Amino acid sequence: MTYLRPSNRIDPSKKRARRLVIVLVLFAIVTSFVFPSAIGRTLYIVFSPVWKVEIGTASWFLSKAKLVQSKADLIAENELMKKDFALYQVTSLELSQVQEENLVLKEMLGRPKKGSSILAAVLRRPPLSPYDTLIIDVGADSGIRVGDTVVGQDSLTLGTIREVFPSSALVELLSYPDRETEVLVGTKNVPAKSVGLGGGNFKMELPVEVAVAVGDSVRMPGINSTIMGLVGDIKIDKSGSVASILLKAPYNINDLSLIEVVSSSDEKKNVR
Amino acid sequence: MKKRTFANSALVLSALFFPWYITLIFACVLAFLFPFYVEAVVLGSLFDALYSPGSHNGFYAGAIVTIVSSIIPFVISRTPWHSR
Repeated sequence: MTYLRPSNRIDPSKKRARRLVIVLVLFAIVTSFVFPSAIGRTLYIVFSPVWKVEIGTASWFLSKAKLVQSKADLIAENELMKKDFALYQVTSLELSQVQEENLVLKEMLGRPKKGSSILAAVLRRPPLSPYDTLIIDVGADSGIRVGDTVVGQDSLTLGTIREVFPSSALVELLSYPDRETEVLVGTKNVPAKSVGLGGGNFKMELPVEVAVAVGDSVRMPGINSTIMGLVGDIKIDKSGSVASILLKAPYNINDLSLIEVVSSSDEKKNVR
Repeated sequence: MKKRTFANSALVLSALFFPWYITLIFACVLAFLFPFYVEAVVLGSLFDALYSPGSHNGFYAGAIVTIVSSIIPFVISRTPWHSR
């Protein structure tokens, strides 16, 4: 039987398409190396409105979904929340009294709290982001600057602003891999350096003589000190002299939806 | 080519709206379906441009996407059951 030999010639349209793909890929690579901020800036301008619409739509659907919950479930949840609310009300009153007292004392001693804060919605967070970064819906238009501190609920320090765009900004969390942060550990405020491990986790090394226990708070240094993590686990090395301390953020980075950006200083900072 | 363009658009949308690991799996599948799938490199650059802060001291999403999406199809294509 005779068969036709398959042609070795590549279809010209396929050849052209393949060439186009290669040119586009090379263009993307060269641009990302030569003008690294140009791509990011363009993408943020294009996609920020899309993300804002997505967040708005998702929250609308979630609020509507709650309406179809069963009445029994709602009553049970309501009862539980009433009990919790009564408990937290007392604690909250005590806490606000102490906070007020703290502010008054600082003002009396000439250290009033400086800087303003802006509420921001989180547009993108892990696991959408492969890094420990957040994209928020406020940017240079709202006065956000590189280096501003980002705090979450209950004044927990989350990270700092790393990139600012006109209507959005990129936040680098303190747990970003290999990020080093000066912190104070435990009740005795032992100074130490925490290293980010990603996923809201940190590690640090301290001599075993330093009294640190699981559950101790880890705070940021400064007069307006805030909590950044909790001691999760302590492991002592074979020599018995160094304790490896694993820290965890007291929040779930996958659940962050609203944050606060606190302007750290008034000095002019670079805006990308 | 139409299929490839459609798949690339879906990949970009996945990078914007789905967790990174889903996008990575999707890129691996596409690299297996389409020959010479260099668009995975662009996907890596997209991840870096969108989500990574200026200084790289963590892992590189671009490198990981490229390596995984090129190694996995290569390994699969060399398996005995695939060449049979």
